[in-house]
Amino acid sequence: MTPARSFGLPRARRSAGLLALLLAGTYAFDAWQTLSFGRWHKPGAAIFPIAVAALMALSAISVLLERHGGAADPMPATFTLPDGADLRRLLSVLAAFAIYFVAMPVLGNMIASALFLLASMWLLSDDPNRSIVRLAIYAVVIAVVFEVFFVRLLKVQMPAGVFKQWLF
Amino acid sequence: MNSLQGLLYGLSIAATPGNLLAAFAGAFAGTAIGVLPGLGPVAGVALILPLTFSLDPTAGLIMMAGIFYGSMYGGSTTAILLNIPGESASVVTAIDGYQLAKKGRAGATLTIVAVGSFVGGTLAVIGVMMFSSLLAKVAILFGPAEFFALTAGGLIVMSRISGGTLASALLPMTLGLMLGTIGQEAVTGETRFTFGLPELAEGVSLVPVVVGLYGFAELMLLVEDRIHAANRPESVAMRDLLPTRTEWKRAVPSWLRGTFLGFLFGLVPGPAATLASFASYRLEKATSKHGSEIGSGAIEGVAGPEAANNSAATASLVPLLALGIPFTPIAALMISAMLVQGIQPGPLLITQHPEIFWGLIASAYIGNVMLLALNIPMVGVWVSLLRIPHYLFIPLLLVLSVIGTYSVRNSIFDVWVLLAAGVVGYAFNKMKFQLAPLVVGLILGPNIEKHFREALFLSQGDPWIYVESPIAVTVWLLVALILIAGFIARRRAAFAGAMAQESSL
Repeated sequence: MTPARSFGLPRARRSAGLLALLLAGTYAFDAWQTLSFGRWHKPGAAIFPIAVAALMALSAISVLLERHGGAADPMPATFTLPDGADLRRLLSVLAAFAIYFVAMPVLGNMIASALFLLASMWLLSDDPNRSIVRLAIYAVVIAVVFEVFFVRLLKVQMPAGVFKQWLF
Repeated sequence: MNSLQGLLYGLSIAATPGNLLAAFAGAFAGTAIGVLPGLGPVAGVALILPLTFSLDPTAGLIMMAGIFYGSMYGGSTTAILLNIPGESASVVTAIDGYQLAKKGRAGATLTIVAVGSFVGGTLAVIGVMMFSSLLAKVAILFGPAEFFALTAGGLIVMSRISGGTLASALLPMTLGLMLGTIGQEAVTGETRFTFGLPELAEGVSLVPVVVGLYGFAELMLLVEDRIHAANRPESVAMRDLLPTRTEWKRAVPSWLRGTFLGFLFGLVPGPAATLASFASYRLEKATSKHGSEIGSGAIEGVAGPEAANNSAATASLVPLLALGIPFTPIAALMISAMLVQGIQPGPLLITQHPEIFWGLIASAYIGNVMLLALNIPMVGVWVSLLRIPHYLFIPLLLVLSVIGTYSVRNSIFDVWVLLAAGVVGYAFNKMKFQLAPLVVGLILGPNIEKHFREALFLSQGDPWIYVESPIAVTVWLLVALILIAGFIARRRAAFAGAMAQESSL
């Protein structure tokens, strides 16, 4: 059984509506302050953003005023988010993904990819007897194949990192 | 250039070794994506999308189309063998397909599905050729006011037909429009909403947003809902792939009905492939001689819907190529691929880039033949893909998404945008907001603004320009008609639901 926590969908949507309303206000304020309105025959750069802000405010209000419940409501009353070990795994994979971007310019694409692959395979594998050596071999093989195919063959520009002169 | 000349020209382009290889690679990757458990075609296409940018525009788009058709083919394999539809259009296929597999007819059903998809896709291409060249003739009459009607009208229609409530589509769509205003605007070159970040001066790139919303968010859901003990499908022997004479005979009328129905659905805005497969299933139940068997393992129950969903998917190329308006998430992905390659899809595509338009159409024929050859003899290979554990393919696809996103502008900032878009996509999925309107808003927003302002420049500020030309008026009337028809259909459905509830009490 996968651990999960239930949350009320109407409440979550109303929170999203409030955030959207705040965003609409900030966005309109910035457009009003920094952009030109122009004239009817020469409309400026502020016109469209102000219209979009008005539309965002309208859509936010329509989310806030939604009526939930009853047989006609097409939406479920709740939604689930992972909990316990599943939540830890999801957040760990996200953290590993973010560290991967930070490390990429320094270590280069191939090394950073291999390390990320190893970390995420380890985190996602269910097998309690998983072998780090086997996962490391998978990670290195995939990273090298990607490097050869994309960077060498298709000439995709990726960060080479500080170890550039020692690789290939 | 008439349709036949266009097709011959397209074949001469599509049949070059490079483009044939692109079609093959696309069909192969697409089928693999369709088969991979838990990964829908939209997510799969989004993840592969940036890799097409390293090719020339025609080859890149041919590859994209191959991925698109391939994922539709591949999605049915899991539906039949495991009762797990690879994508929403295969939900119907799973009903009778899985029953047939349990009766020991899995191989024959896979063949009927592959041939049905080929028939649906190939016949629909003929319709796409005719409709698109017809629309292209009107294209030369388009000015800013007509383009404004087309793009703004398309956006309005999209907000009402993408499924869910109005608010569920409107909020993400407006967010897409907002993202589209970031960076240098197209009319006067003024920079907006960059907050001092030089990376934002060029605007928010479409690719990380699309890959994040669809690909990354889908992978997060997979990480969350790991299939702890995936079902292992039975292997299918080559000799079991041949349907009986009766099965062929029963499938042919269903293919033709499904193809026709699917094509009609593909032309109108909405989730065409899914709707077409459901409508075809009902049509087969109503018209087939073996209608009563449908639901318990009848070949018509897979033949009709599969031809219909492939025909609809192909026909949805008409609004995509001829109008430049994406009505489905995959169409939005194809438009993003065109925009990154510097091609503006829309009424002028056929005259400005005939090699792309006709090359893509012709490649659909070639792609369908390749898919037939790939799917039937190699079914064992595809089945074995189902055995790849999640802990291997999720990290692999995450790395692929980073390489693809980074490579577009050589920007780490874009990779952060990918992560942010992924988190937003995950949250929107959970909160039942639609994702497609966000992408469509981001694609169409800058065009709407450009045409809106250019029209006012041209008319010296006279707002009547938007409704002066017959084309603009026709487009707005069509938009009104679609909205009214949708409103009536929803009211009738609600009324029927209320009546059914009342009678059950």
